[in-house]
Amino acid sequence: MDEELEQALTGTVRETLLRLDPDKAPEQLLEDGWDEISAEEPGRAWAVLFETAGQLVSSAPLLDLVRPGPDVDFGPRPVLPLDGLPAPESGELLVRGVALGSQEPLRYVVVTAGAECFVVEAAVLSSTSVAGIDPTSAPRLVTGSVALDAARRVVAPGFRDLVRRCGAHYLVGLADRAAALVQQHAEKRHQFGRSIATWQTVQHRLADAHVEIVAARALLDSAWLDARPLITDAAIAQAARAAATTIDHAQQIFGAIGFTAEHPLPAIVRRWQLHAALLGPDLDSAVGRAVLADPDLEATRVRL
Amino acid sequence: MNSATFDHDVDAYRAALGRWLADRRTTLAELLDAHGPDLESEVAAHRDLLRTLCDAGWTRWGWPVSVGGLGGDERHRAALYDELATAGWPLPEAFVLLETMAPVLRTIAPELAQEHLVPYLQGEEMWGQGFSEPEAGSDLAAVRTRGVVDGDVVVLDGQKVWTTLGHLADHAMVLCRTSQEERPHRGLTMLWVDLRSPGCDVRPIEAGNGRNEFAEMFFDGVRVPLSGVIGEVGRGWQVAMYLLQFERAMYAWLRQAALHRILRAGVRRAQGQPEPLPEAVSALGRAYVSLNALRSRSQSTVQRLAAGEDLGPEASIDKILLSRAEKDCHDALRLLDTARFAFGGGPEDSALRNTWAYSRVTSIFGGAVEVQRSLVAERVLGLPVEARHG
Repeated sequence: MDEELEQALTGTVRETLLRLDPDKAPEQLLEDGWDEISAEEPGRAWAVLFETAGQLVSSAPLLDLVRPGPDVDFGPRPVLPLDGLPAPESGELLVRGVALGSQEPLRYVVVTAGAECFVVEAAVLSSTSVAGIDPTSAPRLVTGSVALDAARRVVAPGFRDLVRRCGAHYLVGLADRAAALVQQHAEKRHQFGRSIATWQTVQHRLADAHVEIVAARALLDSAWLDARPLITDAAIAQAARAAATTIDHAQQIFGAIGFTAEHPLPAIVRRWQLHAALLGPDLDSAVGRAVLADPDLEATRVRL
Repeated sequence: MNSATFDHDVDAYRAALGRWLADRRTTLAELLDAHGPDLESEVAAHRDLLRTLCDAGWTRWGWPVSVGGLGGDERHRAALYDELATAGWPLPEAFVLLETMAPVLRTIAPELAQEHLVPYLQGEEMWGQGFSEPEAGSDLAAVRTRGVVDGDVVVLDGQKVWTTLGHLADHAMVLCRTSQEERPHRGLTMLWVDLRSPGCDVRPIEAGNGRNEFAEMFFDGVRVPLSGVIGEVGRGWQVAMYLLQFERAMYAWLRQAALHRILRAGVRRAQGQPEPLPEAVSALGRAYVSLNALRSRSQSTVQRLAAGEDLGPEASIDKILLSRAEKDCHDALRLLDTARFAFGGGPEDSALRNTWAYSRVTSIFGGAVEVQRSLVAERVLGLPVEARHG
């Protein structure tokens, strides 16, 4: 995607997310041609969408746009598993995960289990709104079991990783927003007669955050080109690292003001924690186990 | 001799090199067995490797024809390091010095490149980098080594330290002060010095791992011809800044290729053993993430260098990522089998201990990570100049 097109797309996404009620945004983007845009260059398109959403701390249920295949209509909402779900056995699919966004009744959900992907009628599952750490994301706990012949199996082997990469881009966008806010603050805040942005420790924290964000973007770019799950897992771990480092430094540099209800940082912290929980608690170990199980350990494929 | 044309086709270069390496596994095995554990014999064996690669043409790709290359750019050199590492070949330290110093010669002193590049690629000469001094490390502009222009020579007096493999070098790139200016980074000049000249005295420094990793160089009235001035008298700082972006950026690519090879070998040793401790598994995952983040970032940096872009402070990001990847990888390998790391007696074990020890230095040379962070803060993020007091 050339730079001009990417900027135009970013602008459209921003404007849509700022102007519309979050629940209306996915449908509007669909009407504006999202399917065609994302089909042409999926990596850049999804990156722009979710990173922009993260920068705006948007609660729009944009995962509704991520569909397991062209013959699955817009509507089913991905359920993000809370634990790794086993592949279905004995004709039954077990579901335990979270769907984000909107209090409107769900009609269909998309569930991944192992390498399999299913579209399931929401009415056969239990769906409970939960508040948790970030009620503004409107999370719903979705649980239950479904007979396999009551679920629609969709062949979409990369779907789970695609959804996770989108979540990782969102975290990068959140981190970016936190970094921008805290840099602004540091430049304006004066103590001991000078801007705290002139202090070396503050500068180094901001530099470290920037390096982590740059690294996360680079590795996510690679993950779109190199479809191996190990690379996606590594990219997600790096995105999580970028968010954790940046937000941790932001909390420290903002000082007490960053802990007040009227400040934008606490909302970012809550949103980060929700997404971190959904991506998984120990991403480094998951990557480590995958590395030990990999017979070749081929480096990330690159184009020079 | 490789006669195919890969000028605009890095993929074809890569594929052809991959096939050539695959056909020479016995050469590799002989090479790896050929030398003892000491650094000097390793460098000697690597000279043979360099000659083999140069005679086949592979290392001449990535350098302009005008200076003895076959064409191509940084991407060809990046592909070379990747393919060597993937095939399990070592990456000689000579490549590090090549990537640090040769771009300066290519761009700023092409006559010197014409004279010295191909002999270097053939392993016939070695180079050293004379920047740091006992009182000028992070503060490079504080160098005191003096150069006095006297007719058609520059007379050099002073001392350099931490020159990698300096005691094996034939020539050195030396940063000296040729005039006193109000701002210390002015008045500097970069010289190309023949270390066999009268007045040069180079002494190895034994590192904590028992190897002569670096050296100190003493200059006492060394007469350097004016043809050895790189760029112009008084423009040494600009030459140094041009060099440092390659030292930071191309070295990051080269090193990530080597780290993939080292990590792969270590993981293969661990596979088939009982499951490692949870801490080791987590450290391994962390290392893989750090290393591939570096690789992904470095790939785009290489492309920018190949396009002739001046990276400036952006190269500091690559250096910071490299420092972390280097330590994370070596710590993971250490944790995968701590008993073997501490007590193993085979050549692989002592090799890992050496590279682990050197991994601690990556965050120090080429500009300590503290300096790199300050560069990112001021020049990339645009933060105000750091307060100098307190």
